[in-house]
Formats: sequence, structure tokens, C-alpha cells
Amino acid sequence: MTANRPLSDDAVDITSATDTAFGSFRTLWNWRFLTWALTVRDVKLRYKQTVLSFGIVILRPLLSAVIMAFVLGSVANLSTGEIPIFVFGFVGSIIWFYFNYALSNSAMSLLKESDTISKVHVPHFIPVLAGTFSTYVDFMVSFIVLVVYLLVSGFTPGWTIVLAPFIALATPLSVLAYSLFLAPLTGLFRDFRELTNLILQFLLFLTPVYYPFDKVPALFQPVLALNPALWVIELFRASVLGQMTCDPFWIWVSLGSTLVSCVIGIRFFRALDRVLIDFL
Amino acid sequence: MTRPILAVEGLSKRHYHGAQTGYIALRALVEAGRAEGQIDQPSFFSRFGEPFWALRDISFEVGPGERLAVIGGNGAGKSTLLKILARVVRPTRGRAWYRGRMAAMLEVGTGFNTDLTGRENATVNAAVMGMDSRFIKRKFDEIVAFAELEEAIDTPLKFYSTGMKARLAFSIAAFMEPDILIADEVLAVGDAKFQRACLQKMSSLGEQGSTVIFVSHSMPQVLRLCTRGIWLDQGKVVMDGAISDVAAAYGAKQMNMTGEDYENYRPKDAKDPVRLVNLRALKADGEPTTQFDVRDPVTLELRYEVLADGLQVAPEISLIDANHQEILVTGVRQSQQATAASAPGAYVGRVTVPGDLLNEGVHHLTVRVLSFERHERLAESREALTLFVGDQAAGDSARGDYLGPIGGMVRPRLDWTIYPDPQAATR
Repeated sequence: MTANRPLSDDAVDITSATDTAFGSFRTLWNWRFLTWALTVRDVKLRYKQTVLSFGIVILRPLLSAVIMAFVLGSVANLSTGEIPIFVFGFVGSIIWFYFNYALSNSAMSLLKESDTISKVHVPHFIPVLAGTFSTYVDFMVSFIVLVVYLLVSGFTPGWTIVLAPFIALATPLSVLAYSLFLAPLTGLFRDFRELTNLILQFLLFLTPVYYPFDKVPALFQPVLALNPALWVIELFRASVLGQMTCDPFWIWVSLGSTLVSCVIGIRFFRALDRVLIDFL
Repeated sequence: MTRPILAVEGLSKRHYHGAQTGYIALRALVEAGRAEGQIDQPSFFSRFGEPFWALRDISFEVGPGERLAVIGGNGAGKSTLLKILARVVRPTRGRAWYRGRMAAMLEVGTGFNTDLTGRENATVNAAVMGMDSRFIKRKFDEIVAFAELEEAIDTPLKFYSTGMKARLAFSIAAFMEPDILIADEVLAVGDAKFQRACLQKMSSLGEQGSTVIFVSHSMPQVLRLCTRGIWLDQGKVVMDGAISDVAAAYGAKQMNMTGEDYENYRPKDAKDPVRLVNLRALKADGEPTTQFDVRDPVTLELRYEVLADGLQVAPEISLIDANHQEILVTGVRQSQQATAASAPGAYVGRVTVPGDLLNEGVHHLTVRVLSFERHERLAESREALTLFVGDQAAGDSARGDYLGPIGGMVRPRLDWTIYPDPQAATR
């Protein structure tokens, strides 16, 4: 009981400098159950009182791939080498949709959880992080469909395909490279919701989801490689289809860009978080 | 004194009213975010609206096991204070610290989602309060049993009543076994039975050594639960002390009355036959006060001087409630007594209103001195003194252990007998 538990002498300090964004890595670790609970809640909510949920999850990447295969393959005459353009696009769209929804959830998370974070102390990074995980279930569902499709269509993926779900698990890092900026801004200014959608629309075309990176003119490659989403898409597709479409150097550039963006993002998040609650 | 479990040192909080957006440079916002707290820069933040101080330089300490009530009107800063202690909002200046585990209920069922079941919401809510899966496993059955939700726990929350949600939310917080429990108006939504259960749970948490910080507009609840009160007004501590004193003073202020001793009332005309000197209210031990418990007898003491000759003088006191309804009138009604104290000179009239008679709340006293025969007012002072009668709700007043509103102008403690109807069998 309470009375028997020795009272910790570590005082919790509350000042104007108190960090409500992250705390420390230890703080975040202590709150891991909340990350889990919020993720589970979002997954449950997505599949509750829905009829089409699984259908939508499967159709979204499938139809996108079909349409893009038509547009890029038949209209624009894009070639994806020995891999059929539909398969190429389908693999890309599966991981892209995970990134896409993880980013929009994560960017919206502080606004969505505003009732909670203005009433209970939780590190504000937790909802932003949890937002990146819940659509992993959607990803797994469409990934299984992909594997079945590949097997049925006679394409035998290499052993590296078993790595694909784990590579996808690294997507949140790419997402955070964006959402650490977008989440507090969306909390403060509602119109950043629109900006997130706009960014996602542009990113879809600036990321090699439906086209191979090596088709991009060399002049633009260094710029596009700065995109934190690049390495996830490329590594995921490489693990499924056995080949990358860009020089490994650009993977490192993208990964480096992700880390730099996350580090700056953490500072940005921390700074905006100071004023966030008062204006949420 | 033992080391405090929670302390507040010079705490201030600035808010901005009437948010005005317009163009705000992102860079300025980031810089302001970094700087807020370190330096004062209202110039930037004033773009967001009018600044005002919700808390101004508040300091107090709370010891382990204390049960503290924060009372005050709307906008007094109670919620801001609780939010800062719950680490939801940062102070602008000053510092607060606490030790141990804190459970803060600033709202009933924070983060509850109506599409999820009670069970699922309980898990999320506990997680939001910083608990882990072991807590859910270990305490879940107790939580559900206390909330009396055994049958509804797997039903989506949209089918719950407000009271059911409140029960679930309170149970989770209570079973966290916090060292400090902060509760803001949580009991406002529950039914009487649940309110009682909550208060009992909070009391027992207190007895086990937990500190309780409680905001409620219900004085009976506050008086029942808390040992100490802090009264906030416009962001400042007006009064900090024993809950009965603070509640009494706050109650008197609410009625816009100050319970000061009425003294040296001088008649306008020196030719008045009687001069009222002083009116006091005394506790049983003779101590003058204006704050009484409903169980206490109230002794009223009137000093007056008879100046004219040949009168039969009878003092009289009216008790008037907050709605200016006369509750009772007491006076000298025996001609012999009136005659005996009629010669010019100074007199003291004393009368005791028994305990367990008056209602809770404000009582104004009007005193007058009458001529016995003709019932003429020789001197009068209307609402000369205001008493505040409070109910500690210790269980032995007429209130018993009921905490809701009770009507009536007086509240004598009358004994009830209830027994099975012996005629029922024959009917």
C-alpha cells in the first residue's frame, strides 16, 4: 500500500523550464506502455464500426499501383527494367501508404490529443511517436496481399523479403523527420493540416515510389536524395524485389538527412512545445 | 515539521486573453518558445491577446497526508494552479516541486473514447496517467468492482451515462495509490451514492498517507474531506488555514458580508432612550467568533445602555438568513425580567441558541431594544453582525453522512425511528 512504499526523495521539479516535450530517454522508456496503448487504441478504432476497412487497406495501394502503371507505363512510357511496372509500383505504394498515413497521423497527433495533453501530463512526443505506429497493421495486411500476389504471379522473391517488415518498422524515423516539425505547428496553427496534405502530395512525386530513382536526371538526384523518405522506400523495395534503383551513396545521404532533420526537429519541437499548451 | 511532499514557491502564470493571430514569423515563435520563462517578453506574446496573470506569486507547502482544498470563485486561478501542479502547464515564474507518484484528475475520463469499451478505455486512461500493463492486470477487477461496472465494462462508452464514466475514471485514479491525488470537481457528476464512495476512498487514501488536493464548489464535500483550505482570489492566496476557518470566511465573502463585530453603535439622536453598545457571538468556551459549526451552540451577547428613565426595556434579536428571511426571533418576554433591568445604566443581555438547530450558511443578526409594554423600538441595528454556520459533515450533525443539499430554514437534529410495519402482514 501507499503508506508502505518509501517515498522517493527525488523531487519532480516544475518551473518555466520544465520539459513537457520529451523529458529524457529514460522518461520515454518509462512511458512505453502509453505508446503501446495509444497505438492499440488507434488500431482498434480504425477497425471498429467499419465494413470496408480491410478492403480499403488492400485496395488503396493496389488501385494506386494499377493507375500509376497505366499513367507512367502506357502514357509516359516509363520502363522499370525486368520488373513489371505494376509490381514495381505495387511494392512502392505499400510502403508509401504506410509512410503517408503515419505522417498524417503523426502530424495531427497533438491536435487530436489536445484534450488529453491539456489535462494530463504526458511527454508530448509520445502521441507524435504513437501516431507513426498504428498504421503498421494496415501495412502488414497489404504486405501479406503483396506476398500472395507475388507467389501467385510466379515471381519468386529472394530471402531478403523476410527483412521487409523490419525495414518498414524503421519508417517512423523518416516520418519523424517531418512530423517533429509538422505536429507542433499543426497544434498551434490549424492550417498546417492543409500544408501536411500538400507536402504529402508533392512528396509522392519527389520520392521514387512509382519510378526508379536512376531515371531522375543526375542534376536533380542530390536534391531528391535529401528526402528522408527515400531510404525507406528504396531499402524496402530492394528487400522485396532484390534490386535498388539508386546508388547506395544516396541511401546514406537520405539517412543522414533523416538524422539531421530529426535532431533539428527535436530542438524545434522542444521550442514550440513551450508555448503549445497555452494556445492549443 | 516533516518535509513537505509538495511545495509551491512564488508561482506565477501569465495567460493571454482573446487570441489574435495575424502574421507571426515562425522564427520569432521558435525564439519566443525558447525564451519564454527565462526572460519576460510580453511584447511578442501580446500578439496572442491581452496578457493577464492567472496566478500571482503563490507560495505554500503541503505535508504528507494533508488533505488540501483549493477554493475560490471562477477565474480565481484554481484550475491553473492544479494544471501547473499536474505538470500540464508551465508556470511563467516561480517553482513548484513534489515527491512521489501523482495522480491528477483535472477532468473526468481524460482521453476517453466513446467507441471503445470501458475495458479498453480503462487501459488507455491508466496508460495516460503513467501506469503500465502490470497495474491494469493487478488492479483491474478492483477498479471495475469499485466503479460498479461489472456488467457494462465490455460495452462501448457511448452507452454509458455520465455517472458511469465518472465512476470508471475516478476508480482508475484512486487505485493508482498515488502519493498525491489532485482532483478538480470530479465529484460534480456522480450520484450521491458514488460521491460518498469517492469521498470515503479519498479519505482512506489520506489516512494511508496520501496527500489529497481537491477543488470543489461543494462546501459540505470540502469540509468533510479536507483538513486545510487555501482560498484563491484573482490569482492570489487570500487565506490559508484550517478548512473550517477558510470555508467560513469564503462563505461569508460569497454572501458579500463581512462578519465583523458590531461595536459602538451610536444613536443619531442623543435623546434616544437606549444606546446599543456592542453585539458579539460567542462559542461555548466564551471565545468571540463569527464562525460556527452547526453542532455548536451560539451564544449572543448584546451590550446596551439605558439612558432614559421609567422604561420597561426588552432586548430582542432576529436571525435572518442569506435570503433575508427571518428564521427566528428571540427576546425578553417576561415583564418581570424586563422591569428588573430598566433603570438607567449599562446592561448585558445574553441568549444561547442551541447547537443542532441552525441551518448551514449565513445568518445575519438584527438587534433591537423594545419597550416591553408598547413594543416600540427604542434602538435598532439591522443586520449588525453576520455569522457563518458551517457543517464539517463529520457524521454527527443533522446532515449525517449525506452530502447533498438539504432544504429548510433551520436544521434541528431530530431522531428518526424506522421499523418494519407490523400491520403490513395483516394487509
